[in-house]
Amino acid sequence: MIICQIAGFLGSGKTTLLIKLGTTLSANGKRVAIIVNEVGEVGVDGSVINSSGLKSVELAEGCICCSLSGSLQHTLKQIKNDYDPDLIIIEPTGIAFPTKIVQLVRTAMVGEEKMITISLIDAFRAVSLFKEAELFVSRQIAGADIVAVNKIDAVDENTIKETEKIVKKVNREAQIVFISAKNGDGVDSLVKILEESA
Amino acid sequence: MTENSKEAADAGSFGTEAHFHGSVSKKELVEAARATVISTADEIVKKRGILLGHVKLFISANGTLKLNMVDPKMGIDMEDNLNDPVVDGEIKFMAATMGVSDKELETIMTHCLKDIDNIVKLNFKKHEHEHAHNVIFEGV
Repeated sequence: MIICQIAGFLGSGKTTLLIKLGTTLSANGKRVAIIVNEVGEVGVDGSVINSSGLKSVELAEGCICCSLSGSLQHTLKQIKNDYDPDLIIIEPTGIAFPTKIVQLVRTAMVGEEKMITISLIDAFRAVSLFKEAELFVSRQIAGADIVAVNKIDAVDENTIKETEKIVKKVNREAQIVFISAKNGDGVDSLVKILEESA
Repeated sequence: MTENSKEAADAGSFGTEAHFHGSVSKKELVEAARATVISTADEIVKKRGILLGHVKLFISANGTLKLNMVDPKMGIDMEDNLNDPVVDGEIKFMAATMGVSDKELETIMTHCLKDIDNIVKLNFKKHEHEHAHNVIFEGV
């Protein structure tokens, strides 16, 4: 069983990417389970995911890296026991810290063979986000195995290069991919990584 | 002491859901929903100077409508799979953003929902705190 978290700031495209990955991997025969986290009382992402034909568990009213950490671990164990999936995809809230989720998954001891963290960065807003919230956004990128520069369909080549520079400044080790979760460009590379791991 | 990510981000959030019952054309409902999301984003920008977050709205009726805004400059992202006639339905509306408190967001969003409430009467669901997550996962 592989666990993959799709992290990234609010509005970076996590749900859109999750739906693309989940539907493709399911169609390719993988058993996929989804946990989606919503910091507010009412979540929209769970309904959006379910309307695409995927099934998800929604943990709302808190953040799974802190206030709902117990719920995350409990849910992981239940999914493992009841469904035994090939892949669990976790979508944390956009203000979560991915490194804390990695620690929580580890201590949940659900027997995963591998955990992969994909952090999304919105190419359209990258420069302004770094200007307004550099420390916060940096923490989200720093712990990533893969950084996916998203919304490449909405920006020019220069902006993509600027975003790549920002990512490399924060995380030299991560593999960087360039995607448009909306129209699917580049998503195959992530599907391949997850399929080979699962 | 465990770090609270919401406090660390200085973020606020608010979400609400409602049932509606009333005959309305898909065109009217889509326009009202767009107006709700756009006006919410505009109010957040007025308050904070920038939208560092997102505003999302989901309608499930005769089909589904999904609206999302992360930056007024990008415009509204919409997936419209609603069909006429629209009679009964459910609306989920949420926003999370840095630099605006939970209470401020609640005030903004409650006011902006009037665009929809004016054409279909919204019956807001009372929120029940369910923290004992005994989930049943049926899988894909």
